[in-house]
Amino acid sequence: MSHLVNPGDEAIARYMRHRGAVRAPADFLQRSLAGAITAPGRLTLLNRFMPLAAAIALIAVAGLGLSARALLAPSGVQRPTPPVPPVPLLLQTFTDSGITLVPADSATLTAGDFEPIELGEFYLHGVSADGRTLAVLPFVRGNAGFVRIYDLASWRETRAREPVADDARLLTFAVDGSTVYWVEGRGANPTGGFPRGWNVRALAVGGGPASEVAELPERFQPREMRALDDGRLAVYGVATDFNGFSTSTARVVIAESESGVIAADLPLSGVTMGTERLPEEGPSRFESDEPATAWDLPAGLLYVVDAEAAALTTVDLNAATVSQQDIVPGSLPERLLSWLVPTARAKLLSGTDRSAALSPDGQRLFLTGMDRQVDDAADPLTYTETPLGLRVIGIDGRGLDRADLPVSELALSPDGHWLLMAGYSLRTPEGSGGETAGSGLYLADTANLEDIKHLEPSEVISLVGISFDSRYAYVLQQNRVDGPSRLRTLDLATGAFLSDVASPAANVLVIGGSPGTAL
Amino acid sequence: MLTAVEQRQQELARRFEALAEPHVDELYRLAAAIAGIEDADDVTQEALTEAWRSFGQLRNEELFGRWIRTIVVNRCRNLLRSRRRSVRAISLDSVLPAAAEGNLPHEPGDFASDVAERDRLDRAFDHLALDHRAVLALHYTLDLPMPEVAAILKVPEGTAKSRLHVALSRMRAVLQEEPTA
Repeated sequence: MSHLVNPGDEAIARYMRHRGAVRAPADFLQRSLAGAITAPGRLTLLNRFMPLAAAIALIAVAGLGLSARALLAPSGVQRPTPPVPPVPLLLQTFTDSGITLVPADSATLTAGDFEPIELGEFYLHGVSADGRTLAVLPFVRGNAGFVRIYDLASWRETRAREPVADDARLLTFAVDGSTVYWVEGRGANPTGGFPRGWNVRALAVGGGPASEVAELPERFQPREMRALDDGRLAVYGVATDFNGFSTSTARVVIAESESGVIAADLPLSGVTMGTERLPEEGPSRFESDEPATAWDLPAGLLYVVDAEAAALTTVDLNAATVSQQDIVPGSLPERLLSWLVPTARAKLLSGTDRSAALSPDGQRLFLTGMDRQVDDAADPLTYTETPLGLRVIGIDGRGLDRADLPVSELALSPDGHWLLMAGYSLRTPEGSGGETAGSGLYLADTANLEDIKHLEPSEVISLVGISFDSRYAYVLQQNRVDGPSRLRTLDLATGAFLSDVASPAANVLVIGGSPGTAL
Repeated sequence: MLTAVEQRQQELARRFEALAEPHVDELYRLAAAIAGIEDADDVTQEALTEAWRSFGQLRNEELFGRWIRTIVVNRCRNLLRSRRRSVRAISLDSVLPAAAEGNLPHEPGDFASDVAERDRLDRAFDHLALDHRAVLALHYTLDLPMPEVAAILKVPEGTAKSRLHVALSRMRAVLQEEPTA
């Protein structure tokens, strides 16, 4: 059967047989699938409360047609497998001369044998959808430089011919990776106020001069930008005045990248965003809210959850339409838990920041957030930050689950299997240094949110991201007495920390993985 | 009382396990041959998990073996890409004890008794691209005929043969350049 055409090939054939002269350990199949096959009868958080309100909860669930437990399991909706990036992550190191970036091993964080690239004291970046190309915009002595593009497989650099404006931001690749876009302010206010508007510019990855693509509407301040399959650009933001105070609800602007035509400008009714003046509550009264966003680009959708998590707004980016649903708690326990979170009221810098991650099948949103309050009735005046815990909702707005944990940020692994959460609370009476209470790291299997591992309890931890292969998470662990913090690698399957690097000397930029939703 | 969704899940799991069980050893061997014994556990486990998650897409269960071998090859591809840019030191000691275990295939006069030749072959193999490693492993380690190798790799049979030819040539070249001392 073998194609041996050379007597020496017998040694090679023998070598190959030997390379495979192994056997799988006993029960290998069962062990391999133990975490993947959802065992019937596993309980979710909701089930713990069943004895308390069995009848009412059952009626609620029956009314929804499917059990919450079934909805938490993978939906079976198939999506393309994400591509494998040529390098899993880049190690970012802070030196006396600025930031450097170099490919590194995803488990040990050991830098590879590459010449580090130097990025000044600050940089913006974007990564192509296939994880093969990195665009960076370094800032040296506060000024933006030239957009640089790196082929991550060969570590080859292409540099733009002319510098970009100092207020450039939102580096974004076209879907096919051939072009990188960004926005630059126009009509900048000489007193340092917000620009009158923003223009989208583009640079071909292969080289050539930068070009102007589109002029975004007057006063519209872009916050996030994504390229769509058909070449259009979707920009999420809000209109503001020169001082940066919001003058509209959140909006989505869709621009044609070829003609520059603004194809749609969609207001998201009821979704407040940014800092608003509250004149009815007196001078110098503001509220600042950040809704959660989750882009489902394969489906051409953007989900936005308002700060109060009262409504889910769905923007169909292809049809340029907006729909809204109330977020409906799924059961009595869900409602009981939601009543335990005090309603935020605007005072001074008060407000709520929300963030979200969408499951890879595009069916569930994992929500978290941070509530900020300034209590000027207290003596002394006291500023507090309170984490809002985890909520899981379906894309129909239905509440599926909730974990009343002290968490305000989360990261969902690219395969949707692992959910990592972290948070802290802060209480700062005026004139004092404040008290920060860390709540450590929570690691959960998304199919079973009852069984949540709690790691490094009481430490202040921030989530950097999860590797493309869903094996490793990267976290920054802050020393509680203001000493140096640490960058740590967590093995998600075992919950063990694999590596530990002093930080702020280091951080990582995960390629093709999931970012954390640090607020 | 199981819901209809859970019952369907249970049936699928039973079916998957029945189909996968006879292939586990072979998949493990394939992963070890392509990626090395150090990563065989991870690669095979990831491949089985991926196969389970995609099981609903498999239209013809008669092709299960071919389908899951393809998944193993692809998992090896992912692994090798992620490994490409990092220096990796592999101890020969971690490989040789496998051959010493009495229950493994052991050929008289094979390279386990010739560390120098094994070392040269290891280094030659380490320089092969995934496509060349895979064709060698499928053909010589699993002893599969070339049409089946081509089907697993999703390439025409001529391409698979060409890859085998190139792989053998590159291995031979190393053997000839560095004769046993």
